[in-house]
Amino acid sequence: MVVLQVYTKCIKTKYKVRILSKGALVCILATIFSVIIPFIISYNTNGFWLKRDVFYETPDVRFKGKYLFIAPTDNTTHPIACSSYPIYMKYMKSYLGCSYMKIRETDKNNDNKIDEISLELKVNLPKSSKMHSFTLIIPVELKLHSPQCPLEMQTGIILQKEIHKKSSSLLVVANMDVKQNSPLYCSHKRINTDFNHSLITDEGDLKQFKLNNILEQHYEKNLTTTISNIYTIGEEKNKDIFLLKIKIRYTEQKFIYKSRFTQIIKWAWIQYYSIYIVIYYVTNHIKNYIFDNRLVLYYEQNPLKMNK
Amino acid sequence: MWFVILVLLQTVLGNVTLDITDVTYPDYNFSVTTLFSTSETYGSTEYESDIDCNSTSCSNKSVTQVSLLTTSVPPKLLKATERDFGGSLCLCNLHVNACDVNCCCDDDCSYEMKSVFDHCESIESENIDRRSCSYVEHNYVNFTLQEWDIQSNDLFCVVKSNVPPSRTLQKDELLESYEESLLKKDDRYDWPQRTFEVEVNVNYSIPYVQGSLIWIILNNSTTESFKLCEALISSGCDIQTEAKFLHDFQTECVHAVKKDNKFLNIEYYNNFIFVAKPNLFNYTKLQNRLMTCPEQICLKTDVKICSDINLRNCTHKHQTDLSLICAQKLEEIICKNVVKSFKYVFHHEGIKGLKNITLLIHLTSVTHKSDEDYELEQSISVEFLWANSPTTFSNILGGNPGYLIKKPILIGTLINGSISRNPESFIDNFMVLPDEDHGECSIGKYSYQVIEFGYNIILMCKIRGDVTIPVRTNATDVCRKIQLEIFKYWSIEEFQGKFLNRSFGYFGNANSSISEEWKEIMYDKLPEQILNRTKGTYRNKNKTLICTGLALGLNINIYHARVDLKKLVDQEKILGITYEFQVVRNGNITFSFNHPIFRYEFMLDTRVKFWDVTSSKRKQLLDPPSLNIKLPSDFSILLLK
Repeated sequence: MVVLQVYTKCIKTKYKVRILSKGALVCILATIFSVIIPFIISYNTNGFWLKRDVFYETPDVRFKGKYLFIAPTDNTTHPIACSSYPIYMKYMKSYLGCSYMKIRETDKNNDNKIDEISLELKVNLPKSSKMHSFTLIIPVELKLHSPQCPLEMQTGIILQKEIHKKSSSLLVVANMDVKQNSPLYCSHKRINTDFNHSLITDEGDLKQFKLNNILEQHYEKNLTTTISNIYTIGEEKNKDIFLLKIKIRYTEQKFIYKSRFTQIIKWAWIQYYSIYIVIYYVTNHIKNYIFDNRLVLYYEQNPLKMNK
Repeated sequence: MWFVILVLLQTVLGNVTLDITDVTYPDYNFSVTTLFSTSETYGSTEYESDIDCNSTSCSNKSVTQVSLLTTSVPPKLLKATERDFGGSLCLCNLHVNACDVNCCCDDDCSYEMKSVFDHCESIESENIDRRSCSYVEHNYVNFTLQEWDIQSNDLFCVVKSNVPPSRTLQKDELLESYEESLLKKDDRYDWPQRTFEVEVNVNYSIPYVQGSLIWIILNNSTTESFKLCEALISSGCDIQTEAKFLHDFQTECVHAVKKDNKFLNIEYYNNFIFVAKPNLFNYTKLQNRLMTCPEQICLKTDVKICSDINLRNCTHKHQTDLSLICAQKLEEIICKNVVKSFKYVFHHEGIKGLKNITLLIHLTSVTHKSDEDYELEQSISVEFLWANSPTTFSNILGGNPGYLIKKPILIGTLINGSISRNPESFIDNFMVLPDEDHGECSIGKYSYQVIEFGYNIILMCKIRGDVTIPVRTNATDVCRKIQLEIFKYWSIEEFQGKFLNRSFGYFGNANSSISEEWKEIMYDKLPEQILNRTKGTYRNKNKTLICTGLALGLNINIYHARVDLKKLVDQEKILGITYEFQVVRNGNITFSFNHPIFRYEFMLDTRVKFWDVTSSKRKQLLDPPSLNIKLPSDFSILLLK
């Protein structure tokens, strides 16, 4: 008849020593060694505490219906300004020089997030003055729907370009990137609104529309957006209009955030435990050797011998 | 959940058929085209079933067998004929009764017409949901539409193949009312409203407080807020901003010089009548033109004409007519009395309002070609001062107590053990460097630049001058005289044959009457030593002067630290200031001159460096640590038990 091994079980042998003995000292030292050494190794090899982590997400960026276009000309007292801000339209009438602004937000992959914004602005140049640079500010709302770090913030697409005096049109294609100075404080229970303040703090105060104020406000933020990967194609014709076409693509961005307590502990525990297993294996073998070879005095309590 | 588990079990264990009978739909009124799948052991076919639903419910009594088998089926050509796609289904057909080029599904294109096409537009590709496991793919073969039934019935299509019949609900119907259209907007963006009206309810009887608008009277009948020009878009004076009570204001902006530009005319600024005490002002009477504003309530400006652009040397206006005049002379336009810079100085009594107003104006003349515009930068400023407490320089602090960043460093002269500071002179109260204009140094009552706390500076500028040298003057004396001239630019001055001991305040609030709060500036070599080392010799028949040992450079080192003072922490304290003269390395400086006038020109090099020498703070216990532990009286008894 065939005999099968279907189950195995260890017999536990107990080695007993007095509290003040070599055997006790060996065991205590081995335990301390196996507990502390993994911590020292994992800590000294850096990265033990996960202070920050990253996640990638394509932000949900929405145009807010407002824009500001400022272009100095060679006539200092007659710059060009265009805006959809009501206060600007009221008080800066004599400088308004844009006849139309066309904008389209495209969701290419139907994920309810805008992937690209296209903008077309027609500027009517005043007679006998030429435009040599411009600043375009498009305030946008940026949202992150990530469950680990929901965020709502106000930011802007800021484009500053120097152009040739004879430029009649300019096509700009670029990406919008998120710039971060320090990690975000995230909570899955609360939407982070730390940066949810507009570039123009008070839309009823004309002074707030000063470029210095807007750019400083934008610069001060921990989390901002910038335009990168810019390509431009210009056209130079003797025309009294300037046509600005812009295409900005919103791509997936990297966000750095402060790790939560449980995340830090989990990461530390994995590192600690993986080293602990090895150390424990080694110390256990040392202990086996010591007790098997009777290098210390002990009293053995073996269940097999006891039954006999 | 159970359904998914069941499906997975079925996938593992074998084929099962489910009977679906009596599918009831909720209460919608619509028509549905539903795809049902029937199965055999190795494949499936599809057919369409139209169900008409009434307003309450709809049901399908047909019995359907749904396969749970997951096999892939090769694509099957449904129809291989030229299909009548119909105008609405052909997405590239954009011209009625005309053949659209490369639009192979266009009914208006005959076979002959299509032969000129180089390809067929595959507009449909964007409108097909290929994520589903079974769909119809359209392809063009020889400009003829081919329709393929794709059945990718693999493992990942288990759910798709086994879910009950489904439908797509779309409730996008035509809008019936304007209100409904507003609801559809949700919170998405819209262009902002065109009109912007700010409701201003002005209560004229409220006294001025910080930030209040300042009122002026126009034409003895209306009041308006006092506004000044400011640059917003560019450097031009684009906007007019309201001046606010107790808010000092300083700006520069560019005006086009024209005879009708009121902002360049002194009369515009001179004619304002300010409401000095708004709480005593009767606005209703003014509106009805019944009141002439009395002097103590309304104020006219006291105009002073200044000779310099910085509005320093000012005198009362004597000339009666100083209004802007422009006249053409040949090809040039000459404008006189153009307001180049102006400053309103409001002397106020706090809540009691304004006491008097001084208008300082600097006028200039402009000449430009008649066919060109001339742009003039105008300096505009407003300053508020307490009427009864004149501000002197010695009352200005650099911080209280610790120095603040960008504030000036307090300086005084130690004379007979006490600190002396001339309250009227800025350079006698604060550390300054020579003013620099177009590379030239100058130092004087109004020409200086402040050494701001925390800001390191390197200043290189030329000094020029001429000295009349009497005949037979010793060359060394001439060189020493030059050195003394150089020292003046660094505020190192000689008085009665001795150099004055300059001291600095430890803290920004150092009191001049307490000499302990001041410390002398230290030198690596005293000015006297530098002077004694300066030697001079004549060469070339007294036409050339050679000076050795001239100090043309000065390094000012300011050592400061953040200290704790009582309950205040990190207060900036200056621990010491050292002056280190830089003597010309290669020894000699040669000048050529014609007696008796000697002209000199040097490059002066002055460097200021702030050294933060804050040491790390340590907490020190005042007494040695001790523990006073008392055991309970019955402790020993407890121990014995």
